[in-house]
Amino acid sequence: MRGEFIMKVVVCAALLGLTVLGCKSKEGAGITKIPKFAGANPNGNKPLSPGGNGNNPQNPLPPGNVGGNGGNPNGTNIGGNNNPNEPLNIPENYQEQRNVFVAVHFDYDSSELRPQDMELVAQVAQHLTQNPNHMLLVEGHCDERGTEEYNLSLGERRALSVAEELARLGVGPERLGTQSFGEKVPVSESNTKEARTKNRRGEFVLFMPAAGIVEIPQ
Amino acid sequence: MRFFLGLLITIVFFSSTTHLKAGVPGSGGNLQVVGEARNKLIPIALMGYSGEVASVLKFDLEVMGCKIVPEAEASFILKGAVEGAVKGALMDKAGNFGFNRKYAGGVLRDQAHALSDDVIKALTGKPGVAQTRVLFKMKTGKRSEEVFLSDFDGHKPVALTNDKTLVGSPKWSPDNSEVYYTLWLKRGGIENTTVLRQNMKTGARDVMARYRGLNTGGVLSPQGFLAMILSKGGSPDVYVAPSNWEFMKNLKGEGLNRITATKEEESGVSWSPNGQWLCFATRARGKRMLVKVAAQGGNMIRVPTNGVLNPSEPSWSPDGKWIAFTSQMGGFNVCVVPSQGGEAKVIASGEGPTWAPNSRNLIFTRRGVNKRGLAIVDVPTKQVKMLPAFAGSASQPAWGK
Repeated sequence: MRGEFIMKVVVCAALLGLTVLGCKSKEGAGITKIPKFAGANPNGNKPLSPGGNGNNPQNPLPPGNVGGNGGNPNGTNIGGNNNPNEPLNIPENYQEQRNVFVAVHFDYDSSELRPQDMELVAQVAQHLTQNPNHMLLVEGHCDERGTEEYNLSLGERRALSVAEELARLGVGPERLGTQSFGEKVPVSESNTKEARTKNRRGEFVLFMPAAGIVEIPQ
Repeated sequence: MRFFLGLLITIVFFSSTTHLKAGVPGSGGNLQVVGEARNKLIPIALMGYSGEVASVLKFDLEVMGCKIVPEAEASFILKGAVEGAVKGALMDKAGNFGFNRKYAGGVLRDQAHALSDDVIKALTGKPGVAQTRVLFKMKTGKRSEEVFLSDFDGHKPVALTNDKTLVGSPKWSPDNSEVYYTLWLKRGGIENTTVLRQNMKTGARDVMARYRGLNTGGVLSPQGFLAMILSKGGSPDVYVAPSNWEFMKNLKGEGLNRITATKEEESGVSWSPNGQWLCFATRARGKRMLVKVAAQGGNMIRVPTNGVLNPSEPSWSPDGKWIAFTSQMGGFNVCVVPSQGGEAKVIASGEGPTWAPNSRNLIFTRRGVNKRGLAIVDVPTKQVKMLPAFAGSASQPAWGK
């Protein structure tokens, strides 16, 4: 009887001790407060700070470099004269023409130019050579059968394949640009083989002075 | 003295009638702590909850490796109510006491998330992830995508951008004070990929890279080095910018450390948590594989992913032990391999996994019939929970703190 009583006293003391310990590690007696949400300012609307080379003044185009660039050991550096690392700088009075040339196409998971597209690429090169003040952006696209990050890089490799061939054919690299869109801008969203074939493409975007006349190749 | 003793006796009689043992600090009460290497779902019964709180508790606990079962099948019971605020008492099926808490502040969802985390902490000794957030990309129009932020369960989505152009690969900085992402930014007549840094408090944005060609994959190391995929050298390669990088002072890229110079495409850079290694996918030597390179540069060391093909999009776990990645064999599979390489395990169907802070959960993308959505898997148990569908196609999630 007495032993049980002492045990209960000991137990009570232990209980009190535990409660005290417990209180120390929590904010209040058993109430857990939710911390204020250190939320983000979702206002991504703010204009970008003066960064990015889009703010450089537009330079007039240098005359076309018919001889072409010799190319680096690591692949042709498609670049401009002033800063080979700058994106293509399109003069303000230029306009974009998307439907002058049809697209080239690529095999699945490949960035190699196909033999049947070589003639088209040669036509593009000829046009650019004959119009030394025109500029060209090659867009690289993929079908959806790859992961998004992989497709972005594959699309860029495709665009570079085309641009390298154009440079090899004598177009000055400073007039050539590349841009990958991965799988983001498909021609067709159908889940068919035909659609996927169409989506694996390199598109030619021509930039020319607004008043110019475009001679569609025959 | 007698009164004091009497008071103590009364307290003892009104408390739990079982024998009390000193609880493990942080685990609460005297519940048996479940081993963290657990690969079996912990069966828990929820009693007294309904509506939104019940569904939040169920989702959270199932994400974190539990299974909600009837009382008769449960090893643990969470009993409570929602009386203005969420209350919860945790015990095991023998009635051993875990904790008894009441929550305040926030909305009911937040309180339920906090309770879920407390349950996991009590049962495993490890912190939960129910109060974390994720970034992802969502399609908002035909040719329009924005970076979004939401709770880990997809609730309270908020757009972090409003540029009405394309975006990609949002990533958290290690302390989550900044996010990095790719934006197809139109300047000077050209829509060029640009790596941007956005401050999460102020919304202020800075251009990290806008070179000729592809600029993507921006991800910051704990030491402040920014890894990126740039194609200005003629092919998409891995570059590292030093800490305190100012793009405007490096328009020709002189300050960049070029990590790869292959003719093949590199993609999907992930830092090791100690910032000493870069892991990424490459097709150097004609075969698609994962490799790692020392942060300051060096040889590409293959990370074998035996048993699966075509790995990409690696994500290194916060505890350093694992690399999650996408394998493409017909469909897409979320896989995990030990970080030094070895046998890869398929965990779930899906792609683009990133680790939760607990190095146990992954959030990833699943392709649906019309659009993509997000899902979470508990790697040891392989239990998958889909997030509720978003308005537009959602993908490329990045799990934050």
